[in-house]
Amino acid sequence: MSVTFTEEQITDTICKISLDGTLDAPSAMSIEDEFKAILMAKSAQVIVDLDNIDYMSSYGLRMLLVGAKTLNSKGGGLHLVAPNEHVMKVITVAGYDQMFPVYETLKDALQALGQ
Amino acid sequence: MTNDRQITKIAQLENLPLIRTFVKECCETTNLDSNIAYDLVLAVDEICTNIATHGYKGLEPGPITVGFKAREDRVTITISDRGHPFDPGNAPEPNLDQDWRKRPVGGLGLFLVNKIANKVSYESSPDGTNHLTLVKKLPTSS
Repeated sequence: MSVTFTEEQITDTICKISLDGTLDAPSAMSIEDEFKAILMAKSAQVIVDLDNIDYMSSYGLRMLLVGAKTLNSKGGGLHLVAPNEHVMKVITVAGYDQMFPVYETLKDALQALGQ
Repeated sequence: MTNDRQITKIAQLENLPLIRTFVKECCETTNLDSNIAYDLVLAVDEICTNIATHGYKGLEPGPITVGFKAREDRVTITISDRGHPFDPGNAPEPNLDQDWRKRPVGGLGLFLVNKIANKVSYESSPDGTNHLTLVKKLPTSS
């Protein structure tokens, strides 16, 4: 069980990072440095697609918060898309749905970002 | 409904998926609702992650034993280790109302555990074993 991610530049100012797999402590630790480094290079809106994440623990939340802080410090923003119902519950209990926008679909996120 | 099982693994991060699979299988055998099963898997994962990352800090990683006991009205999960004593009841609660930009990174694992379980208790036995017990009440069937 591990996690991978792919990056896609949607517009000049919007980037999508799709995560795939299980976001537990060891897998989050395995990608957090690379994930942060990619966000450090952005000063844009980053959509994190959680559609293919089947499980997320607090280490996944931790990685997202580090990412959001990184983006915020550079004038960008983090947006979450398509968490399954279990992952959404973790996001909600931790209060993360009050911290960044969470959209059901990529289309919803893009619309909210004016696309 | 009776289902008593246990698993013992060395407290290392790479063993977390095996422990999660054990809890998931116990929940499936007991026909627990998938939402409750996910919650229990998460709660055990969070505690075992803490034990693997902090519990044996400075020590050779030792065992984690997870016991699963299901009854009609509740599931009781015990997690035992021989690492440093740690009572999760003493862990500070995160301030969810704080501006997220100032929120510290981490500290959510035990918060999630406390949200999931109806009761969390800790005991250190004289031989130095830590025992954490989670109780999750089950909805009564009609």
